[in-house]
Amino acid sequence: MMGLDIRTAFLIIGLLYLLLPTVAWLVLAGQRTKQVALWCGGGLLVGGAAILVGSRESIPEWISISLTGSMFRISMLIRIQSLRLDLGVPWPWRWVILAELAMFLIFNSIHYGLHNDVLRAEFNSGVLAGLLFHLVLLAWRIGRDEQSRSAKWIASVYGLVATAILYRLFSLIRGSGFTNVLHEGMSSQTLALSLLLASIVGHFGYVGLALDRSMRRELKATAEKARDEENRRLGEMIAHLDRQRSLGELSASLGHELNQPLTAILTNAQVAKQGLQVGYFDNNQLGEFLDKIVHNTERAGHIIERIRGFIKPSVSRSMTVNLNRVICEVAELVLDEARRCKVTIILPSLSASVLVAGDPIQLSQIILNVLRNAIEAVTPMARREIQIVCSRVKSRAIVRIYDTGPGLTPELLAKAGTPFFTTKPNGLGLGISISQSIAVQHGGALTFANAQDGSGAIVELNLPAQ
Amino acid sequence: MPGIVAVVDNEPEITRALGMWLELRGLQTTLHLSAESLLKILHQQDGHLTVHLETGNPVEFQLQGAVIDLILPGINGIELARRLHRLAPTLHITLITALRDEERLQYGKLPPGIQCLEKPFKLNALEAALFQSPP
Repeated sequence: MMGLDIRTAFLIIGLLYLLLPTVAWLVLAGQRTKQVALWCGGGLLVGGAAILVGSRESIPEWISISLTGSMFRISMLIRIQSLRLDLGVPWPWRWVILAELAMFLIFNSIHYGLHNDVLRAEFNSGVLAGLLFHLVLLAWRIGRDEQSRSAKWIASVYGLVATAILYRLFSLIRGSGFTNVLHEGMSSQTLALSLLLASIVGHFGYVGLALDRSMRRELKATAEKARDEENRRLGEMIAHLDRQRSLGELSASLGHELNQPLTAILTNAQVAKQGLQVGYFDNNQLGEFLDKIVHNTERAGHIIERIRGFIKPSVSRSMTVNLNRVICEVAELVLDEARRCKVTIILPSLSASVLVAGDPIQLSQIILNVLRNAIEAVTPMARREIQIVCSRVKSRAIVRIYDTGPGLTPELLAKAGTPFFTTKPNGLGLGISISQSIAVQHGGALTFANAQDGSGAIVELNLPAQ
Repeated sequence: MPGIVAVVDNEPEITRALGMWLELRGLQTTLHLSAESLLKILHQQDGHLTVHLETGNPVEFQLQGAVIDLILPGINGIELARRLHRLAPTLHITLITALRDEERLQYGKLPPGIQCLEKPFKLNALEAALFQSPP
């Protein structure tokens, strides 16, 4: 450094500070934020100011002293603001402006009022050193919080600049320094060298920090996505297991349900065969028996199809679903259970359609869980009735399931849907909780209430209508 | 007095088909979808049950047998069998059901000597069970 002319050094520093922030800005095209803009803008200001300082001999004094003083201070202030924004603790902008105005007034009063160059240079060095140490502190905090080596490099190199300025301040106070920074001397040379280092390390460090951050953001986003995916898959698995459990519990009554058409088929076939042997039936009558056999075979097939459709491991898919149809199909699965418990189920008319967007199997699951609970609730009662009403109210599709059971106790009302909360000795307490998650995933809700007149419980499924 | 066999099942189709089978075997039948419907037309007469049918000119039949489904909407099949057995101990009764043994327990115990056939069954087996049952 000994051979390097300070004026040239400042011009080089100025050029570097114009060039490197521009390069940083271009490199960070993908992650340009307000903070990046402030950091790079601050760099450009330093560049401009350093060139003006380097050209001090050929430009007016108000530019080389007053303006450059402001430019240095403003550049520090906005770089500090850039880091403070990163840390989430920005200064209010009007404070920043007021601070610069105050420093501008003091600086120029000393220069133009007191004509005291030493005091002006001391004030300027003190202010800049203070701002730089603040910047160092912020960069170090970011380095520590984000475990970023780049930020620590920035802190170190600006620490060096701040120390060099402090050294200059002490030289000035001791009387061994020059008020003009361009005068050859230890303090000026140290300052020039540290600024040179800061221009390079500061900007590369900043680019490194920004890239680190974007990589971490991407990693985090990927991890979050993976977690969401995993949650969704788990949710589907749980829903599937719940359907298997429901069908397991229904297996006896489904077996019975299948038995009816099979019995009808076997009986009709045997009667037809016997009648044919003794010549009792004419062709029309035999045709009728065959029709009954066909009809009952279809009925059995239909039941098997319902079971298979319900148990099919489904990846959730969204399609237009007619809630009325879903309700009627699910009711077929519990028909036998209801008959056995002597429960009357009043279904909505299939002729009207209430459309929603969703997964038909998952929506069936909600209805099945609620219906089975309702059957259980009304079984001990004298009046055993379940009524399902499905309607569209404005932009919502609403299914209400009324039962004539004892209604829900306040404790049940508060806890219904809490996972593992159950009133059944063999229950898992997941059915209603799963049903509620499905409703929420469909943009709706599953809620429980008691009828005003105390005639039983009302379960409401509320979904966005299509 | 001519004999008659009652068929009680809540599935109309099965009731009709069973009735048809019994008619093919030369038996008169009375078909019912509930226990209550059968009990309404029965009269007790010295250990026998008679059925009064309004078939144009009223005719009295003697109830000889009953095929009863276990699950019925009101009074269940076992209860009906028990009542019939009490009213007419010589009546041939056979229960039919889609339930398995262990599932039948909740409906009560079968009256002694009365068989329960599991659906679907061969009609020959039903006929054998019905007429081999006591007396």
